[in-house]
Amino acid sequence: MNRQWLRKKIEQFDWSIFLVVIALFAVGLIALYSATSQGGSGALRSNFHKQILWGAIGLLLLLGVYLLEKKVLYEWSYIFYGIIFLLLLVTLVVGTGAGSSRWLQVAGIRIQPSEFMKVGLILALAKYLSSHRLNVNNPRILIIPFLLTLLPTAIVFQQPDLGTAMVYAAILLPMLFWANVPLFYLFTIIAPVISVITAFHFASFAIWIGLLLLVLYFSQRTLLVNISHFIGNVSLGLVTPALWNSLKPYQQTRIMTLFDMSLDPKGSGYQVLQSQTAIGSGGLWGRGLGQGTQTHLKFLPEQHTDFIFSVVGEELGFIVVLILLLLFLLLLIRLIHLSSEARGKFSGLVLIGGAALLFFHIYVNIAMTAGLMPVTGLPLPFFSYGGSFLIMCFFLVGVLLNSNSERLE
Amino acid sequence: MFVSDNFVGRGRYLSLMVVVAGLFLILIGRFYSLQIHQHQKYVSQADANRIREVSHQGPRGLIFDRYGALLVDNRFTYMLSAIPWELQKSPRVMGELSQYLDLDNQKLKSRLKEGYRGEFIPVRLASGLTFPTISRLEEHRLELPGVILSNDPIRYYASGARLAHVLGYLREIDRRDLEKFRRTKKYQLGDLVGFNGLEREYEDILCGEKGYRYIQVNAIGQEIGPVEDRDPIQPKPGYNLYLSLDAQLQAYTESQFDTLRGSVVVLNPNNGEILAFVSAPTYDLSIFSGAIDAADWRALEADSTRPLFNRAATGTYPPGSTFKLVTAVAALQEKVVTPKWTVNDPGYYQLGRRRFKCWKPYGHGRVNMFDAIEQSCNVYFYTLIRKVGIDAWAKYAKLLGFGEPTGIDLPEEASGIVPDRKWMDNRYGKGRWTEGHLLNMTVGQGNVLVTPLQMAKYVGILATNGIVATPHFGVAYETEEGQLQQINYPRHQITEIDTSTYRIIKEGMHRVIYGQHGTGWRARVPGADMYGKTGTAQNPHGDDHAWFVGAMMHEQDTLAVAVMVENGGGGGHTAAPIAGKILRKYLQLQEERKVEAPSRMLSGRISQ
Repeated sequence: MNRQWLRKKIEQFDWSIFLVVIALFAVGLIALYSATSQGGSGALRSNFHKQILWGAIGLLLLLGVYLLEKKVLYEWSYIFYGIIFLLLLVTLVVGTGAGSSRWLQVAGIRIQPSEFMKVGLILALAKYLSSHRLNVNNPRILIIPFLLTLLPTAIVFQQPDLGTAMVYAAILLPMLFWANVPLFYLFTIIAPVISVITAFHFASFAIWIGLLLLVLYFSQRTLLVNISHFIGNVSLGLVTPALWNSLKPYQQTRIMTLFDMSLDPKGSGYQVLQSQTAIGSGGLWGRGLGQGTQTHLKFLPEQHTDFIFSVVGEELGFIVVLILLLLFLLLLIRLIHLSSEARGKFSGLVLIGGAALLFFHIYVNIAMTAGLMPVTGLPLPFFSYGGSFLIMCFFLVGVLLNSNSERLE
Repeated sequence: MFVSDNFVGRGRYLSLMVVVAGLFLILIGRFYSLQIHQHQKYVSQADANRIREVSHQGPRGLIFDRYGALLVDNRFTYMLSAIPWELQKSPRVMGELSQYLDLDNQKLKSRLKEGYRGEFIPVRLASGLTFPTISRLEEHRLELPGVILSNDPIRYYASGARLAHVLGYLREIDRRDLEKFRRTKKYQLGDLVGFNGLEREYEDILCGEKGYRYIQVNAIGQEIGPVEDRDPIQPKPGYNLYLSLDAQLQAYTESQFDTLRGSVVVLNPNNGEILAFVSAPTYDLSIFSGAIDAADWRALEADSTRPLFNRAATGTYPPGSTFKLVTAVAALQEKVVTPKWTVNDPGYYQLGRRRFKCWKPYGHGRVNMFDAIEQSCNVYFYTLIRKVGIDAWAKYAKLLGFGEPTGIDLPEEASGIVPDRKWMDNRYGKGRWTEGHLLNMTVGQGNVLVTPLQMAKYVGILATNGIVATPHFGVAYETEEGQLQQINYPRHQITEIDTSTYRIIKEGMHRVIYGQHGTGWRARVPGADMYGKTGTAQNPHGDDHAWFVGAMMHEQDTLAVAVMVENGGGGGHTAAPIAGKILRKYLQLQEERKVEAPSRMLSGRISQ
């Protein structure tokens, strides 16, 4: 580590990403301050202080990771993935948590390995997909990425944490896309999922199958491939309802609750309604910090975690919401752009994977507070209260900034 | 070092950018819609979440008698309420309350259950707390979370008159009434509302307007504090109501029935104002102010003498001989006979194989109409009704106010029955009823049913030569400006009956009081001119009901009175003396008032 190298490292630091992240985290702290200020109960207020502490740890981690040599990330990516995976396995056995085992207790600190798995997965996928020997036109190259994704997904599904499982899938697809994997392969991955979802509604299923035929017709693949696609998807669609009906009612409810992570007895419909009311009543300028009645009279559920953005909407209004949305968008566009300009496929893939992860969290969470998407329990990066998630976000940004550095090597 | 080149096609790069930007555009649009476009809707939704409107009724209007004497007042009493949620949280409070209030724990629990309207809405558990109880509760206030002591107005009955059936009482509004009043949005569950009597009839005048406080509540409904940006609305007191009643006369009249069951109605037939109105036995209205116990209520309801029943307006009885005047009016007006026409009464009337007896064993001998009214001769009227016939008889009975409500300002009254041809055909079948029925009806027996109130109105019509004034209590109410606003009632003159007819009837009624053989002499009032008719109505359930209806002329005053004593025996013997006493008391009170302060009389202050 010589001086020149350090100077170069500092010069290549992408301030735009860093400052946007700091700005988002600052507004997040303001919203959290408001959300934890009522009731006079010290427990909530201590959450605010804890978040600051974790933010500080996260920032240090960010800088530390940034200062690593890029090749360290590359070389250690499988090992990192492997360690986190082992931790996940341990969590499955000895994990704690209300009704689910997501946390691992180490010396009084509870950490959530599934959060760090997100970064591990990005690194591992990037390493594999950036390999020289990879011929993207050979479908066999999909096997390893699939396994890398499926293993942790299966574990968090057991916890059960559908939201995180969906995040893993949301990382894989854009990275394959970015690795120039033919679109037809991506279609092959997505098609069965659509077949299962549409299977319960005849008209939707019919339209989907029509679409499928159209795609297959223009795909210029062999007849055998097309026929097997068609038969596979149609039979999946036919079998799914029968399979569902053969489940015992309690099994059905168990799966249903996976899709509805709300713990609120009044149901997620109530949560979304209260969230929309909070946001709508904020208006252009908001009700003022600490003045939101939805927030402070507790009508808004989960307000310091999943629904923190509703607090912003209610108390700070549309102007601030608009600024925040544009900042999030700026962050994502900047990451995509850097990804396209990155030197080396590994860096590009890490950047796009990180962008995909952030996008999925940001979009699903904010759309949920506005009633555009179902309640999935995904936290909002830099806003939602939660140590593992916040530290993971900063860590990820460190990884992304690192990947963007050393361009002129 | 980094193995393969980072090459991404322009297409993939751009499509990713477009998708991300497009999705964010949708998000921005959604927030614009929520926060700008539908802002007002969500503001009111948020307010509906957090603001609980708490209403409280203004002081109810007071009720005065015709001389300005206070009949119904509001007095403040200490009440204890409790918030169900808090009681549930600390169950020991219930036990301690029952100790402090000296009330059975079980009773408290049942009150809590009956009054439950929501986790955080206080339920009234006790009222009329004494000062020692209050101080003990105050002392232990901190150990009694969720217990609320309040000082609330209740109805207080200020005069010596009981007036239970007239004034009526208040009760928490029930769901049926709530539905009825929903249009006005004036009431909500738990509000006190006039349940019967004048309290109900004049609810709109007495109730005033509610005031509102706005309280901020949190998501589980706990009260946080007042809403700062919404001012409370002060309640408006109800209007004071002035009645035609004479409280002193009323109290005296009630005292005549301490041991009797029956009714009295005293009214001014020229304008329909009721001066005294008694239904005995009665009950104490004050048991209904504040929280009434289910047990007290059941005891009242189970009482075999039926004190809750308003006999004067809703009790229907056979009128007995007092009804003979109807036949006389019909005969005279239809020119069936002249008053000089006579009948020989041997003590019975033979109709086919049936013998209808006169009340006097060997008969009254030869009697004309005056004699027949004076002595209440049955045989004369048996003979007469066969000439008059059911149609004319029923027509005049209805003209004189029978078979229909009087229109009194009480929520309930009975119509009674005038059995006309159609009614009899319905009841017995066409051609299945006989002249025997008719004979019974002419002497006020059989299917004829009347209320004491109708009887007072009837005798008033006869006394005033056909003025039909709706009997009523409410005379005026005091508006916000302190002006008295008169309450108007229908009044008309019967055109179908000639003055000469009334004159003959009244001559007969006069002889009832003053004639040698008059049955109503016990109703004489020194210094006044009396007219009357007695009646002794047989009834299948026991001793005869005693009736007296009469009219007193004194200077410019005319008063009509109807007295009915259930199972009282002879009307002349039991009912007439009560009427006499009441009217003598009236004159005595008038004399006293002339000396005292005539200016207190209500009539001078009313504006039309």
